Amino acid sequence: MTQRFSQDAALAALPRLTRTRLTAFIAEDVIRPTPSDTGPVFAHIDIARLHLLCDLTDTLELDDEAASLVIALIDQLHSARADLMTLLRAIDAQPHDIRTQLGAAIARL
Amino acid sequence: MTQDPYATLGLTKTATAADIKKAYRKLVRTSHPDLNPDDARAEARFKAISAAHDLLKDPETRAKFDAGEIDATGADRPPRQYYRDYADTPGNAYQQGRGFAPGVDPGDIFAEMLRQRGRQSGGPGFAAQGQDERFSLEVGFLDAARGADVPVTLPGQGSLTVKIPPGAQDGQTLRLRGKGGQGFGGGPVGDALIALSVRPHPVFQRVGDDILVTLPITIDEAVLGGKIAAPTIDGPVSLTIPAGASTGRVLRLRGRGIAAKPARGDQLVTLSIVTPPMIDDSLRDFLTEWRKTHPHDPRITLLNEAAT
Repeated sequence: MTQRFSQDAALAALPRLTRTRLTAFIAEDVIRPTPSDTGPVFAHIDIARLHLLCDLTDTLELDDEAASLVIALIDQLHSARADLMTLLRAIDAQPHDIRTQLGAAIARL
Repeated sequence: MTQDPYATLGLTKTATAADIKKAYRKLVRTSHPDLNPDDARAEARFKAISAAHDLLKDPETRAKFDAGEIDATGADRPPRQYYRDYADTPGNAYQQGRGFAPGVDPGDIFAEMLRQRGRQSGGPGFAAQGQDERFSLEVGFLDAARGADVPVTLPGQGSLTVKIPPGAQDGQTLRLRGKGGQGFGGGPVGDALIALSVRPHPVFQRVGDDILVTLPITIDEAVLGGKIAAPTIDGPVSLTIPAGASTGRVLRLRGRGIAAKPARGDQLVTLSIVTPPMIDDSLRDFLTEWRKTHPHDPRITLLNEAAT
């Protein structure tokens, strides 16, 4: 099971983050904690994402809207990378003939 | 970090506070692991420049370093995890429109990927299915183990019921057809992908399709054996304790685990002998007498093995 953080535990893990800004990030759908009977629950991925948001806003001095935009682009980058890696692994597992054909097809494009 | 913090930031000792900030921000852009996810060495560089910046950003510590009172090592930063370490984990609720969606015919996988990426030629009459939208849902252990209908409210979709299949696993993704983003040009609506996270249970633990339970028994039940009630995910069942059972003994309740194909999992019950909350005189007297005539040391082998 993945470790989970309550809202207070998440704020304790992120000294740079205020409660107001965390609430705003959730309202803007930039951070999506899992709802539960005891309030929002944060996983490691949410904490890591909040660290990144703090780096973007505090260190690079982006405003919250620009930071949300950057993180949306990073998400798209990760989707594209994941697709590419899946594709490459699938191709790599094919027989030599098929890989050669695909290589030739790529060279033609 | 043993390097000169000025050199790490590409500066010299004459740098102003503004120079330090500017150099640091520039290096963050090129070295932050999340802004450079394909750069394996980014994390080490980012740590070094962050440590250098920590030392130089405060005029007081900077003056101490310049005077040789402290070295560049400074205090260790707490280990931190980066978003890129999690971005590829299954069920990442932030990922939109992955090309290789679950449940796609292998023959259509490339067409599906092109569709998701929206790169088809957009001529007249162009229509495309709406985007898949990802959500996460926390479910109770028993709901996941037994299956359940869970009411949820999805943004923009209102309330609906999600059918959790029996034996649903932590991290598993459910696809709700037609509950995602609106289509374009009359195209069909996308799907909602729901990533499940299963709440831990105080009594039951799941390993594969088996359920593990630790069951306390009394001294007399351990010695004499007997029938007792054991909890399972479907309610209590009767369990026979063999006479002379010890703590750690595992009893198997066949077919009382997670419903799975081809066969349902088992429940494994680990016995744990618990002494009564009050040791009364009769028990104490009996065992004192009994001990005198029954020398038994269960640790003999263990102690011998420990010495070799």
